Amino acid sequence: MELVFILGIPLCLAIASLFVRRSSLFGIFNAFGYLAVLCVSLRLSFEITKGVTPFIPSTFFHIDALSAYFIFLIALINFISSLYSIGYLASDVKEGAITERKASGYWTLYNLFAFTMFFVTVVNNLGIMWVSIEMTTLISAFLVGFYNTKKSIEAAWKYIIICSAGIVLAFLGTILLYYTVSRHGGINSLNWTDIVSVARNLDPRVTKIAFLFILVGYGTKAGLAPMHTWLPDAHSQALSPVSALLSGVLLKTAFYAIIRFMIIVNKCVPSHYTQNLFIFFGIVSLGVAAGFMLVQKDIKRLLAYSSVEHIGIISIGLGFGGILGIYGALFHAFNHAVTKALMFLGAGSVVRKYKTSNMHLIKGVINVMPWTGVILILGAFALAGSPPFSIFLSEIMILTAGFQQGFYTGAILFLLFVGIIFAAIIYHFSRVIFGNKPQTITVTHGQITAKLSLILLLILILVFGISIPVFFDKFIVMAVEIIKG
Amino acid sequence: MNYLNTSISLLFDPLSLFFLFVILLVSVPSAIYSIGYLKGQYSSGKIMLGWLLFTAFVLSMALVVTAGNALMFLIAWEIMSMVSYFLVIFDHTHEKSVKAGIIYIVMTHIGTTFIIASFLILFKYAGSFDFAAFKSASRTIPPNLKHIIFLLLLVGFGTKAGIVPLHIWLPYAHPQAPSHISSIMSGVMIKTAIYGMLRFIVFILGIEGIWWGNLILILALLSCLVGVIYALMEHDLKRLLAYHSVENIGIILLGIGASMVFFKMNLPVLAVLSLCAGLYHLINHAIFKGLLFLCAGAVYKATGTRNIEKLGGLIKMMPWTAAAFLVGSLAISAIPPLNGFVSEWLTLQAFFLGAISSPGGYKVFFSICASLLALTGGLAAACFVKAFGITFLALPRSKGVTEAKEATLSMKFAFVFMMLLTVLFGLAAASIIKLLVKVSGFIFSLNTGGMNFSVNNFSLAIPQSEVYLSTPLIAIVFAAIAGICFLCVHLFAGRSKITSYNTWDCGYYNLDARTEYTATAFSKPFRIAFNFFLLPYRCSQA
Repeated sequence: MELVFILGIPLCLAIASLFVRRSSLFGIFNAFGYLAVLCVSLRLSFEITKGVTPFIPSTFFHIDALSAYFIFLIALINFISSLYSIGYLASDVKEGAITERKASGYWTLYNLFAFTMFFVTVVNNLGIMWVSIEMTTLISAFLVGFYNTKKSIEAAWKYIIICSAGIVLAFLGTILLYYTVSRHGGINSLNWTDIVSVARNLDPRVTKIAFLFILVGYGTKAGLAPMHTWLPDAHSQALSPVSALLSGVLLKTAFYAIIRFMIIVNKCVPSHYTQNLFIFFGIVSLGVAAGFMLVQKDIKRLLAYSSVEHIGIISIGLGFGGILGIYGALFHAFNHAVTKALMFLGAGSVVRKYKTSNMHLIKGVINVMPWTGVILILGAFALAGSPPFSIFLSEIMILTAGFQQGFYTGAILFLLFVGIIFAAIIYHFSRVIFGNKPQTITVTHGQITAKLSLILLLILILVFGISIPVFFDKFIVMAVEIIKG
Repeated sequence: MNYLNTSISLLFDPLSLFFLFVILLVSVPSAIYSIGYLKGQYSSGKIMLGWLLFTAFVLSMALVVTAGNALMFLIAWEIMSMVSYFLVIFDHTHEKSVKAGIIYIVMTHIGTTFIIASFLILFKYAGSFDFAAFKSASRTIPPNLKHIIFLLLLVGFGTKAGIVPLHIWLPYAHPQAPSHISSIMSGVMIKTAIYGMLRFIVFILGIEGIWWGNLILILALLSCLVGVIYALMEHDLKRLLAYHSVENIGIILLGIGASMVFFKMNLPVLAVLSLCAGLYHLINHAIFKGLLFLCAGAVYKATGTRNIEKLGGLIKMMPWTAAAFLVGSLAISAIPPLNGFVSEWLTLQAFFLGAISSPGGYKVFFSICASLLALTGGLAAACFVKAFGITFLALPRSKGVTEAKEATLSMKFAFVFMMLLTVLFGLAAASIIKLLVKVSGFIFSLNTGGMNFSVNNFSLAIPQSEVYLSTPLIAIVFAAIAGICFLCVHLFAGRSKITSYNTWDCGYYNLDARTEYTATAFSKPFRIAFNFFLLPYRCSQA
């Protein structure tokens, strides 16, 4: 039953938004809709941790702890982001940046985007999964190019071209996998559940090549370096609540697809094959992000590169493997989603206030907008991996896994790059948040919805940084068991 | 969480309790001081924020020294760094504060990275982050890996402690924080790094090679000399004190390094003695450096400047502050009977006895250590003659100084409290050393039952030698001499022959502040003596 609500609510909201006159009122309605989705996804997770198999209408869908985990992530960030969007859009309309009509168009796109992301996580058929990932690209491209400026259209174009090119490779990978499934597995099905059951019989060589295609293809969408080049443009040009969604959960849905394939591949190829690939791409992502973050001028691009870093960390976590590594990777997916959403939303308010995203021109945020300033500097520490915030815990887990499994070089490079990135983040954010404010900026009170969403996120980061709730812990462990197979 | 095999656990063994005591000893007077210090400088909201951060800072330090497993230690350690970073940039509208904060937090974090790496290696062998598991696993670690862990820990904690060449952040960060925070940062926070070294290197890892001690001794000597020479050249009162922290961390590490060497040479009594000396100096430095920073804060608040070339004559406007600064200066310059003297004396004795009882090259090495320590003490004394003389004596050198007002009641209370502590830790040395011997014995896991470093409650005595020190006796002698001098002056000269005249007039007439002796002039001989190191240059201005 939960499935119907999770897919149905965004779809209904998307249709309803077509008939909307007052977009701000609809925004509140929309936020309540996502609150409902969040509650449903929580209920789903509760049931799964209790061992109840959720009701699923047909084998077309498949929900287990792993997909429920990602559903929860998407629902959470969507709720926060829709909450934040209310005030954001209202002031856009007020300032005349967009028309009322266009604002309701935003809600249509927003809901469709959420729908496609949910769809990726619940669908069983790997071919349909491919289609729905492409759908997320197409719909979110409109949100990237939402303002119709030269830069944003360029970013949207780049986004579509690079991600579509990448996803063609993933298509090849899927076809190759289907080839060996039908040839050696003896079934003609692309359903993940069916393939997993025959995974042992697959041809290792073909599977290896298929996985490489999948990793590069979906890895493009996930933002792994060196295929990440679309990411900084798209994330910096999108509306801030959309940036939060792109960074926080869209990247992870692509990663979710990679994990699904990895489970299959690990059953017929020794797992160090996928592990080494994950570590390699992860370390490259960390290195690239570290370099670019040091010299970054644009606050949203800085955060976008930080997403490349964190996707790299998740990848390394899976690469180090072991229960601890995979646990850390999944937990990191949550932590990054929450923290990055916080940072993008906070940065969004700052950019809106200062009318620029150039960090050399933004100074003294803490004087101009005290709430946002305080939350942003705490968020910067969280993002950089300081305790008592949650990213610290997942990073320590992944590092410990690295040392335990004997990946010393990987773990030491990890430490090195994360150290550099810490310096970069704190350097940039210290200079933005402290200092004297420019004369022209006046102190105003921020929007209540923006503050509320930021505070909610900060509380989550803090709570999970101090200890992981028992229910959540069990939930991740179940997901880890699925990945370990 | 379960996979990391950790739970919340606190540890209250002698080592933890010792550091907890030191933290509270400085934090409490600093808190009282800040009541008066913050008032009038900041808005009420900012003062509330200051208190919040102050509390978080002290709590995090307390958690660092009482954490029972490495994960908690790391969390507390990072919170401590983060909160102190916020305190360094408390005056965030100053460009300098932000810069200092960034340098500080980045360097600290690099240090933490090294610590994390060493913990992860230990975790691999222990399978848990618990200190107890670490300690029992340390037997199974191969020696080569132990050397690596030692170096990682040394770099990690050395950054926080501010040993040369990892001290760069220290003279930036400490002066920028509000003064009561500077006093805690210099007095206590950098000591948590010493705690880390003792806990992880000596207590958990065990000393694997004698070169560990030698390396620490060499770094310590370097810190002493570089710290004090830079301090001599410094004219910013708080930066000067920050450089002295580098020097004093060096002196503390001299004691600890020597104890590690003695321990490996199988000289348990000397090992305990020099570790006691190090720990003693640790408390002492916390007290007098805390006091000095508080005084510097009072001066800054009253005059609005920290540049001693612009100060002068403050003893008339701020007699309490001047007295407190004088006592602090005497203590840090190791003048008996105050506390600084006792610990430096103990360190020197450890070196002398070490030179006597160790073979060959170590005789020379320990003698060099002792002589350089003596040199450091001399230079430090010179530096504080400058700091006190230029700041508090002579005539005011700028307008702000003439309008200076004495510190408020809460600040005076902190001064008096800390002054009493410097005297107390000087006079009660014999009783204190008994406690320190227990702590040292615990750190080395040695039975200290037979070791007695005091003959009665008034005198220190070192076993197997004929060396005694009684600070109360010295105090009595000093008091007697002072009393006799006072009597003589009054008997022979009488009231009629004492005349008051203009300050520092030297028989001339109409001299003003511009013709006075300056700090730059005072430090010139040292600049010339150390020009091979300082490389001064001249430039002319049109």
